[in-house]
Amino acid sequence: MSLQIWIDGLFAGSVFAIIALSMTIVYQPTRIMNFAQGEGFILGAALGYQMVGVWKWPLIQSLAVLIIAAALMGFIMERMVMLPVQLSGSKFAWIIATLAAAMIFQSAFNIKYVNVTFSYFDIIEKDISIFGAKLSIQKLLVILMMIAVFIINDQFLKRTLWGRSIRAIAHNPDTSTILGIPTKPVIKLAFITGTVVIALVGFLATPVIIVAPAAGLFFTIQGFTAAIIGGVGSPKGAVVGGLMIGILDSVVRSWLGGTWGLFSTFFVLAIILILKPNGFFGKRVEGR
Amino acid sequence: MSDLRIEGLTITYGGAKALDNLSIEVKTGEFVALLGANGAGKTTTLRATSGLMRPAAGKIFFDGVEITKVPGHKRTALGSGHVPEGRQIFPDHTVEENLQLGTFVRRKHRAETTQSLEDMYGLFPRLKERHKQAAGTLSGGEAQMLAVARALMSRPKILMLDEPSLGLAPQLVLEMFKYLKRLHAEQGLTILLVEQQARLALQLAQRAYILERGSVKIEGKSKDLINDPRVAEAYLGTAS
Repeated sequence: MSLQIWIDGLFAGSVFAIIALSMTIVYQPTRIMNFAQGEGFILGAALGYQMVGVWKWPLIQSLAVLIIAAALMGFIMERMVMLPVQLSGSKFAWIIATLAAAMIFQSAFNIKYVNVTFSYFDIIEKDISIFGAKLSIQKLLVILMMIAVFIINDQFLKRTLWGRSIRAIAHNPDTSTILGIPTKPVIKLAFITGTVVIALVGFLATPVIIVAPAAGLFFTIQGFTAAIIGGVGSPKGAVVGGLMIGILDSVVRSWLGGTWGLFSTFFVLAIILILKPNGFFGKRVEGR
Repeated sequence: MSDLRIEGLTITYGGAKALDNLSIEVKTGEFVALLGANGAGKTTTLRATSGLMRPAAGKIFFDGVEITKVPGHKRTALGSGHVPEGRQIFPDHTVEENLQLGTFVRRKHRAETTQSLEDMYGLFPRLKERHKQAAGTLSGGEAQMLAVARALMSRPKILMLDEPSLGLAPQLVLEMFKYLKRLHAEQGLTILLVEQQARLALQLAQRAYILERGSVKIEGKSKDLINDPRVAEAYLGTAS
């Protein structure tokens, strides 16, 4: 099997890992799996297409606008999800709230981009060669971003008081409040950070993978699958799960053909859920 | 100054009134007990004071300033400390991390918070022995000490405790109350204690309020209440 397949798998895996990490960032203080998260990926792809592809804006300017737009989307998403959750008090409100948010954003993208798939030239058009296999700088950037997001998130949670507070909020928001932790602003910040992270990977990865405006839920499901395999809520799990399904998909595709890629992902998911119901690094989550 | 004043507080909870026009006051340096049967509104009073429940009517003053609309996390910075019902320590955080979370409102004063940590370990040596352990592995008594120590880490002016004796062996309850007495006597901490064990609480507190169905039914000095036949009959039992 050629090295190229593994490199392509590593790239795809990094994309899924970053999506899973961004979902983990939202999950950490809220215990909510945000099914609208993938729409942030589409935002990154759409703005990349618009700004870099159509308007030919310089990279720095495009990135700055993207980050602001993604932060705004995160802010709106927090209200769309948390307001119904806080008002309803139902244990399942988050499911319908996050799905509704996903549908609303998806419709917006569909209205704006009829019959468009987002693709544009590589921002940095250069390849490097590793033992005869090609790795474009564009793909390398995504892989490096995955490593950076993982390390920053992991260290932040473990080593800083704010990070420990986020873990505390997840466990008990009321007790966190009486210790003086601003739970609601922290949750807002988690949605904003998560959306910025996923929009950035959408922006970076789209020139390589070509994205449709309605594909948000697909990316959500990939990230969700990665998170479940690795263990929901664990940054390490998000990375391991993401890389696993990316590499598996790439290897199976080249071996058995395209349609088998997705099948193998979910087959492995099923096996892992039977053998390790909480994923590789997950903890049993007590019912709340 | 660290007095707490609650005026005409009403809180509805799922249609029913959890608090009905409740008024209490705790003056600086006082040790006050809040007693009453289950469901009388004791926990609700503390939760509303900490900003975890929104009142339908009434006002809450702290240090003479109205805090009724101040968000919960900011009330901690103003000087209110709360040991919640059932301790609510963070089981996956270590003992030390739990204590550090208590310093959240003072996080910019690093040297001071390090000193507080040492103070707490001095006050509760058993927490020091276990400082690297996950808090979930502590015994009931240790967990209760941790909950109290964690609340003290924010240097509160008033400490509200919600049934600290719950689930503790009688010996540990006495030990717990000994600590509270020390905190009040030596550090001049203002304390509002919610307790089921009315007789013990009355022995510690200077004054007490007895709640019934969300309002104050009886109030007075502890030594008067202990001898009050209405109290003895309904809340103290005859044997204890």
